[in-house]
Amino acid sequence: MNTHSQHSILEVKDLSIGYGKTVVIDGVSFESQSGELTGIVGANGIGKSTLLRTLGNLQASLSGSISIAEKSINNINPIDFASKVSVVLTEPIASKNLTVQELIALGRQPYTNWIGTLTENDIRKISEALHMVELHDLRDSKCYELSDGQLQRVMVARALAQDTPLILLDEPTTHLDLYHKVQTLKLLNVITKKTKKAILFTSHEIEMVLQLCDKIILLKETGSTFGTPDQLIAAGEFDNLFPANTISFDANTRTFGIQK
Amino acid sequence: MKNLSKYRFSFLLLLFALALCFILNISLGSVTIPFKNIIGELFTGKTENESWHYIIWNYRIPKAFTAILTGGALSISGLLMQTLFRNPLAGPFVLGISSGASLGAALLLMGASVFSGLATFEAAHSISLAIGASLGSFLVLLAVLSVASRVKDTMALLIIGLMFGSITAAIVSVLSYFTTSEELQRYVYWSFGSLGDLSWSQLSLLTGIVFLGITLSIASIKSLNALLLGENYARSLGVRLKKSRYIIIIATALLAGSVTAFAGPIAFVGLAVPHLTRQLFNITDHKILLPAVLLYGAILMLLCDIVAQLPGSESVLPINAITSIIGAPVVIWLLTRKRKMLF
Repeated sequence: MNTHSQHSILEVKDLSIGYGKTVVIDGVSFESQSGELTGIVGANGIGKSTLLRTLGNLQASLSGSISIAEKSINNINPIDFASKVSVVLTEPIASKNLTVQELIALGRQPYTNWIGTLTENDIRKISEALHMVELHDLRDSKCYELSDGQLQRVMVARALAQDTPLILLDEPTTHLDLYHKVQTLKLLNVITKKTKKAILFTSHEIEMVLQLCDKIILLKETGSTFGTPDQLIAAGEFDNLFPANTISFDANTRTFGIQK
Repeated sequence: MKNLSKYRFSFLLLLFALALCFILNISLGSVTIPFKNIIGELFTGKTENESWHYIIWNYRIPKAFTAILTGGALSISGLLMQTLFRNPLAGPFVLGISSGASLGAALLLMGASVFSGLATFEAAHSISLAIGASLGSFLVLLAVLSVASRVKDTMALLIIGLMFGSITAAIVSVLSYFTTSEELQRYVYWSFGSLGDLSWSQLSLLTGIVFLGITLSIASIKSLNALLLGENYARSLGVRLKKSRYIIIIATALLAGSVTAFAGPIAFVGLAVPHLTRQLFNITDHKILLPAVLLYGAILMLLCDIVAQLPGSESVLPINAITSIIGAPVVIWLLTRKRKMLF
C-alpha cells in the first residue's frame, strides 16, 4: 500500500451515541482511510451495533461529529449519502424471493433513474461485484436457496455494487462456522486492498480481527480506544477486556485463554 | 441481467386473455344476445335491435369496464400493501378503507332510523351511497394516518389499521341491532357489492381516480423495490421512507377507496391476485409486477362477474361472494403448495 494514494474517508470526533436520553457510549473518536479495514470490538451490549447504525445514518447521534469525505453527514442528502456509504445489516432481508442478481442490482438504486432502469455501467458494476465475491454461478438462484454464508457474501456484493467509498457491516460473521467466518473476513480484507474502499465492521471474533484488520475500535465501559492491533496490544487494552478470572489475554500469541 | 423482453410474451398472452374475457363478459347476461350482434355492435355500432343496443352500451359495457377498473385497482393496492408491510397476508383494506366505507354506508342506510329526528333522504340512491362510503373511508383513513404519523414502526401501522376496522365493525353491529329489518336488508345488499350500477359519468370519474392512483403507484416502483430488502436497507439506498410510505398509502386509498365507494366492498381480489401473479411471473421487480397484477386482476374480475351473472338465468349472484369463493381456495392452495408464502 502506498501512503500517497490514501485519504481520509470517515472522520468521527467526540461522538456520543444512544437512544433518546440514554447515552450508550460517548467520546468516540477515530478516522478511517481508504483501503483500511477497521474492526469494532467490545463486549455484548456495549454499543457496537448502535455505533455502526449511527455511522450509517440509520439513527441520529446524540452529539459530536461524523464527517464523510470531509462533509458532515447532517449536510448530505439521502441520495448522496447512499452513494457514499453502504451497509450490511444483521436483519434478514424482507423478500427471500429475490434472485441473487436482482438483490445485488438493488444496490445500484442511488444511481438509476426514477424507475430504476439499469444502464450498461450498472450491469458491469453488478457483474464485478458478483465476481469479487465469487458467486457468479449462483446469480440466478433465489435467496431462499442459499446458505447463510452464501447469503452473507451476496449482501457484501450488494454493498460493493452500491460503489461507495465506505462500507459498514454489522456482525458479518454471526451464524457462520469457523471456515466461513474466516472466508468472509478475508474477503473484506481483500476488498479493501483491491478497491481502496474503507470497510468498518463489528465483530465478536477479536482474535481474527487482530490478525486481519488494519485498525481496531475497542469499546469498553470506560470509553473507547482506537489504534492498530499492535498499538492496542502494547497498551494492554485487551488484558482487562473480560473479567480476568474467566478469560485472559496472551499478548505473545494474541489469543484469549480460558482461566481454569 | 434477466431480459425484460422475456416477459413480452406473457404480457401479450394476458392482454389477449383480457380482450377475450371482455368480449365474453358483454356477450353473456340475463338477456340472450347472439354473439355476432355483440361483435357487430362493438366494431361497427350497427344496430339490429334497439333494446340490445341499449343493453350493450348502457349496461354491459360500463359494467365490464367497472370490472376491469375494480379488479385492476384492488389488485394493485393489494400489491402495494403486501410490499409496504412485507406481509403476504396484507390486502387493500388493511388500513381500514373498506371498514370505513362500510361505516359510511351503514350510517347512511341505517342511521336514519337509529337517530330518528335527523332529516331522512333518499339514501339508497347510488350517488349518495358512493359519497357516504367515500367519506367513511376517508375519515377512517385520516384517523389511521394521524396515528401513523406518531408511530415509527410500519408493522404497528398494520395493527392500528386492523383495530380501526374492529371499531367500525362494532359500530356497524350496533347500528344493525337497532335498525329496521328493511334498512338492514338494504345495507346487506350494499355489502354484497355490485359492478352494474355505474353510469358513464360515474365510470369516467372512477377511471380518473384510478388512473391517478396508478400514476402514484408507478412513481413508487423504485422505493417498492428497495422495500423488498427491508426498511433500513431502503433508507441506506437513499429512499425517503416517510415520504414513500405516504405516497404508497395515498395511492392505495385512491385505488381501493374509489372502487369501494362505487362498487361496494369486494373481498379477496386484492389479496389473492398478487400471489397468483407471482406464480406466473417469477419476478420480484415491481416494474413487471405492477402491470401484470393490473391485467390479472382485471381478467379475474371479468371472470367473477361472468360467474355472478349466471348466464342464461334471470338472477345475479352477489359479486362479493363470488370473489371470496374463488379467492379463498386460491389462498389455501398457495399455502399448501408452498412451505411459506414468499413475496
